[in-house]
Amino acid sequence: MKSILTGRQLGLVWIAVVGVLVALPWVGADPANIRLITLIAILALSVSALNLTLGYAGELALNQVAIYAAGAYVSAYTAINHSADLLLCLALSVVAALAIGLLTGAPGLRLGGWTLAITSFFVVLLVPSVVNVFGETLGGFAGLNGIPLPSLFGRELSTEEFYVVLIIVAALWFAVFRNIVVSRHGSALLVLKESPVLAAAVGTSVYRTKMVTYALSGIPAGMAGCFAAFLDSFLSPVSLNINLVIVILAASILGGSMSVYGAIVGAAIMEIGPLRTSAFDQYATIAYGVFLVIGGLLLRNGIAGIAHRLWDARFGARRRRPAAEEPPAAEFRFPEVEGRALRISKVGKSFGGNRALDGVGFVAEAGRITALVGPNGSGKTTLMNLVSGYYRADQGTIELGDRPISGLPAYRVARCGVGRTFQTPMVPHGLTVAETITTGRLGSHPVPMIASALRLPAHWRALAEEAESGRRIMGALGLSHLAGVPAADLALGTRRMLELGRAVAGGSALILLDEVASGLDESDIQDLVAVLGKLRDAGVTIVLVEHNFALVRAIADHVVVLAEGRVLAEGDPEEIATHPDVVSTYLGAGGEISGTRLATAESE
Amino acid sequence: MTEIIAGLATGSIYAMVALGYNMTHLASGVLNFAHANIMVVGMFVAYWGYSSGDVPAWLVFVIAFLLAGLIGLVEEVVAIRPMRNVSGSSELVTMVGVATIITGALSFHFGTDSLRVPFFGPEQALLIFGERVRPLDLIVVAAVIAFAALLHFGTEKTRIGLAALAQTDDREAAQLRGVNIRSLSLWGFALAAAFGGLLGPLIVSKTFAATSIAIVLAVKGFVVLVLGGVGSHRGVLLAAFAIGLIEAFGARYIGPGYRDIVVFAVFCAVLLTFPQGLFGERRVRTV
Repeated sequence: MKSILTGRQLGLVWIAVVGVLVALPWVGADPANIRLITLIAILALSVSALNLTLGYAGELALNQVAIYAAGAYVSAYTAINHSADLLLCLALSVVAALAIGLLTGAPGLRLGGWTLAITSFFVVLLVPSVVNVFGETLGGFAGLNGIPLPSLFGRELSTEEFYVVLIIVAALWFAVFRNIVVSRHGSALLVLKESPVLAAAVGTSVYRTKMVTYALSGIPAGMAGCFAAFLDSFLSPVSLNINLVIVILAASILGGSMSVYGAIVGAAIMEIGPLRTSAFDQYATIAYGVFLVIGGLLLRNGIAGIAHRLWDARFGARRRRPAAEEPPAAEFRFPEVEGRALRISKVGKSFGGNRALDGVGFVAEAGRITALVGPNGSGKTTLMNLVSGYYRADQGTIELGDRPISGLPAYRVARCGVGRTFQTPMVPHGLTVAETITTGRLGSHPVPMIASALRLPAHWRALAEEAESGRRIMGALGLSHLAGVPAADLALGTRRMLELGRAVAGGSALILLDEVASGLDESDIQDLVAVLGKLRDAGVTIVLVEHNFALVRAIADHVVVLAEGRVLAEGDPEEIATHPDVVSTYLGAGGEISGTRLATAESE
Repeated sequence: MTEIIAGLATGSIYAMVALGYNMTHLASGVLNFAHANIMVVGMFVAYWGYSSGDVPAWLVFVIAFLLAGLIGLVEEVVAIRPMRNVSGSSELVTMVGVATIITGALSFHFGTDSLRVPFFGPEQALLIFGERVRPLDLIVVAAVIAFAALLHFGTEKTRIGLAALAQTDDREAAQLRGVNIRSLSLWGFALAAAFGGLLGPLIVSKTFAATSIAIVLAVKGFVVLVLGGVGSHRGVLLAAFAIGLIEAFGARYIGPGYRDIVVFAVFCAVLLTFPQGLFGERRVRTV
């Protein structure tokens, strides 16, 4: 989510472009060109709907044509039978779009992927049948004739005025679209695209995010249908078919799905090229197929992607320049939080016949570091996943402070103040370091989407808070100089630090670290020890799963040893290092734990 | 009774598509969106054979088999293999692209009208329990049952089938155990496509040769696949018969215009209540 211009500059450019477009009919533009721009704008609205779901949410939902049809038929029916007021019809189209989006999204969204893609194809196939069910009211297969000219505030609109309304509405939608994707809501979508597990870990409800995106993407498609109905004053269900789906998909892929203006570029190419020339008609379908294959294979994010890469090659170095004077990490402290104790009592969990956890109980004290150690298969990761809410315990309870969290879904657990990191760091593509850290606040510090879409004060307030908290966290982690760098490209050690920052960004009272030191070299581990110490000083309760006993000894206040799904022993690191049962179980007979290293071969 | 036979025959056609999906899923872990389009290629081979006049039926089947297999081969190399390590829906996009190219090429050559192709076998209706039954319907039902049985034993009892099963579970682990996943994917894709092409001429006199039928078959085949559970040949067969019957009775008692709407409603209801399908396995999520 790099932006080339600042928001203010971009806004001014956008207003200038729209101003020129609106003025065109009065400076002697050819009516054929005006019609071309009209068609581009209508198609661009539909394509932006797909970009939102495919590019940003990562789901191939192709229901835009069905929603477009709903918008078109609702507008046509209203115009013929009640009132041809354009704003009224637009509003009704949006309502119809939301209804169809929710109705057809609910079954497929839970599974996503193929199921969603095919469900949405199915919905498009149903358009003619559904239209026909309404019989003469909607004109059946033959089509609906005699849609009156649109009016506004009781005055009939000329072709030029209709064009102006369309351009303004489309411009407003694209501004809203841009504002949403260049905000925490866009980040939330990229997090979800990376991994639903991660989305839940930062406290966002996967299903709700998908549903909201899906519904939102219906709005432009529905409005496009409304304009299309008035444009030709004729509607036929026959043209609302799979070919239109392919046109929209090809435009999205060509222009760049993960892009706002890519939708406009893609739509313009389709309208200026294949859709206009009838000589091309015979080859058109083959050409769209080739676009899709080649676009899918070669063009990383279409024309928008190429433009971004060119821009980066030309001006990228300037933007990546590190901050001039960076204070040392030691001067930064994490924001203070009130850590809460984690109480696990008599927790049991089986997978099939395998008893992974059997009556595990211990307390991780508030504001202390508790290490969970044990051989592979002893149930450490299972326990972490139970606490996070990814699994549900068969028996027992888990409490954070005095609040039970067992049985809550993962995103609710995260919102209660549980942050976590993963064995393999999960860092979404397309976000900078600063933005990645901010995603840790998605669940805990929600901002209404409408506030981001319209850039209301709540959005700016949240932005300022995020910037301040992000600055402190990056400072404490020693990542300040990387704030603007794409996060997914960083080295493993840095990505682990980043995950730590994200885990605490929402003000977590407890963080769970799953093998946070694995794969790190000596100096990375030194940094990690320092950071974990600072986190403890800030009051955070820390539970870590760790194999490196030297590290455990260096930082842990308390150690819990798991073996075969039970607590074998607990105590401070020194007690555990000399505990006879632990030594024989964890290291095998004959092993011993020396001062700094495990004496036997690494247990992993 | 008429509805039952008609429903079972329609269901059989959907099952053929879904079993094709199962095959590509076994071979390479993806569903071939263009599978129905490849079946349509087989239908047009039959139309070409019929309109040329003197092409024997067996040759039509051989050509359909080989041509479809070739398309599958090319598709795997061009649209599936390069997308192996790309996340998101990108391979879906390239497969939709392949499907669109096939549709475009066919309609460029044959036009977009539905073309009738008569059945190459006996047309004389049989009397079963006093009902007139077309032999074609019986052949189609028998063919799909045989196809499903073949796949079932092929996956459960042969080394290649077991290798394919292992591949669907964990590609890397299968590779480490010596499964050549590249050639499995390539030839599995080709074989699945070839079977799809082979079935095209068999069902063409029921469906007619038309490019527009592909998306309908692709969608209904997928509905059947989800209801039956991905990977379960038996489940797919049962689900296909059920959907075929629901369509036939829905069209009879609610109205022909509601055929697809009824199927969609059933599909949504099942998805909302059994997200894993009626016969699918539930997987434990891992972090």
